[in-house]
Amino acid sequence: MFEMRTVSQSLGVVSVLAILLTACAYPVNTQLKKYDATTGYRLQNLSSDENSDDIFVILAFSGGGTRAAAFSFGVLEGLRDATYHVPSGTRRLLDDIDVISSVSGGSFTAAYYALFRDGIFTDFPSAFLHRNVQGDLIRLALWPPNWFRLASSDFDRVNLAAEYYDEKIFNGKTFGDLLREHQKPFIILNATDMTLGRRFEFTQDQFDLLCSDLSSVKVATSVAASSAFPGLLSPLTIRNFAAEGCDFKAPQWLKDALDRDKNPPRRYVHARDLWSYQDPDERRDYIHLLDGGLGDNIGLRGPYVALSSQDSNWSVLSKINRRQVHRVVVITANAKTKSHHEWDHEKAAPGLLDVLSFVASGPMDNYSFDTVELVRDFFTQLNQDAKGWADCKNLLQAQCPAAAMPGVLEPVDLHAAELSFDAIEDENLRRCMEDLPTSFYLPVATVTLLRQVARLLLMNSKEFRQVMVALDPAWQPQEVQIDPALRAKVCPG
Amino acid sequence: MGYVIVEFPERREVFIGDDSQGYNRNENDEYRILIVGDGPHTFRLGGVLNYAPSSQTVVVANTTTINPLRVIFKKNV
Repeated sequence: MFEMRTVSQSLGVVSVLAILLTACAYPVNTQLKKYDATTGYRLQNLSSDENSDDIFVILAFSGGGTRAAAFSFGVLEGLRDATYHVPSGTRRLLDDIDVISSVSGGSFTAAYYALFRDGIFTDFPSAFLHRNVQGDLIRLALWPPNWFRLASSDFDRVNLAAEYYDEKIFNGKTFGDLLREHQKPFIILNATDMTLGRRFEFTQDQFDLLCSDLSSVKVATSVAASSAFPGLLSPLTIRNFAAEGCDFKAPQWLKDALDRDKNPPRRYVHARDLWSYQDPDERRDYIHLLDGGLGDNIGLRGPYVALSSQDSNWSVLSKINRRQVHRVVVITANAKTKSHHEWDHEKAAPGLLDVLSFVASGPMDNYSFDTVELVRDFFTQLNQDAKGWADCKNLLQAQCPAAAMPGVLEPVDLHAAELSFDAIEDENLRRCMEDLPTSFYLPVATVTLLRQVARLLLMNSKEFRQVMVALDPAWQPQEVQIDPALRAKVCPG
Repeated sequence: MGYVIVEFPERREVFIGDDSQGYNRNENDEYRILIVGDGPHTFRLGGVLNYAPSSQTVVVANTTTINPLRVIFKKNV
């Protein structure tokens, strides 16, 4: 009798606990009562007091778990140390960063820097890089009280991860906090919309289409979505309130871009995908988000749209046309790996795991390569067009001094640097870096080596050196040394 | 990517959609060549509404810096 009562009481306690815990599930995003294009987390609402207006710096941080986070952190350390002289004193290139667009592992670094600024250089290693996040997430999922929560339809592994990131890394901060900081850089944390297979960014411009207020969204939640690798984490589900309305007014560029017959296909498809959130015929009440790496593993697609068109709330072309920006710098921290297989030496076909591994990363690596090339080609095209105009002007002045050119094209200085392990000259070190796993746990020594490698690649980058010399003709690159003991420990042989 | 000149007898701010593109002419009263993504765009001018049309949607395609698209606004008399 006593035992029956105890069991009954225990079941009662567990039931109450389960109800309480499942009730703890919170809505990820809230409704925007009224659309206002001038408020919310947008680049235009961040201050440029300390940020140079003349130079526009975009960073893109790739995915790749802790490897990518450490690599992008090393790039920030390099930019902190990249100082140049201006009439008023010395500046750090770090303070000129306008936008960081990131994916998956890179999103941890981007978000942490935006929230805590220089505090990242003292706190981020212990807060994230040196933490066994993967092990912690597994332990959380196996903790019995969480089973009840995970059984709920509106709470899944990605929400559990978001809670963990919120408590351990991002201190409960929201995008509203980022907005109140009122400082650049503007961060674009990218996830992937499962239905569209395209990137979904955590900006108010994107959330306007959902009639949702980004300010109430936790930064940790967006980072969890950005790094929700299929299988490891579940998709993050957010509400689309478009059907309930918020007086949303589509920007003119979006209306113009929705004309299929008059637009380049890429522009039309971009607009069509964005409109799908508002389109009443689509009825997309819930949006399911996965790892940003599935849509764009280096986070450059959004910046490319802003660089090459007026189809963005922070169009760089518009800033160039307004003469706000005279120099554009794009630095991509690409922590991609490269498998070194023996397939080609064997008659037997690769096994299932090898095939799955290839399918998971091969196509995306090719797509990432194409995205980097798109930006480079765009800059090359602009430079060639400017040269063509200048050559023509010189010829006209020489041959026909009375004639005038149809208009004046103002010069813009454009630089694109991609930092990746490919550029490591030492073959053994390169292979060692390219063989690192994609995981949310790496030994401290590996993290430290990745940071050093990132700084080495930055300082050795031809494009980066060109930027620094353009800013300060007397600039000299720092010598970055890889610690031999560290290297021997991480990369034996 | 395309190149556009916005013709108007005066120096005026140019808008594509809601986004300012700076002025149509520079300080020397020369036309400025604006860099614009390909496809249809809706142009208008800033300042006093003494021009026509009040806005126009034109398709930017196949332009060069030597042969930019001319978007022409007339001053109302």
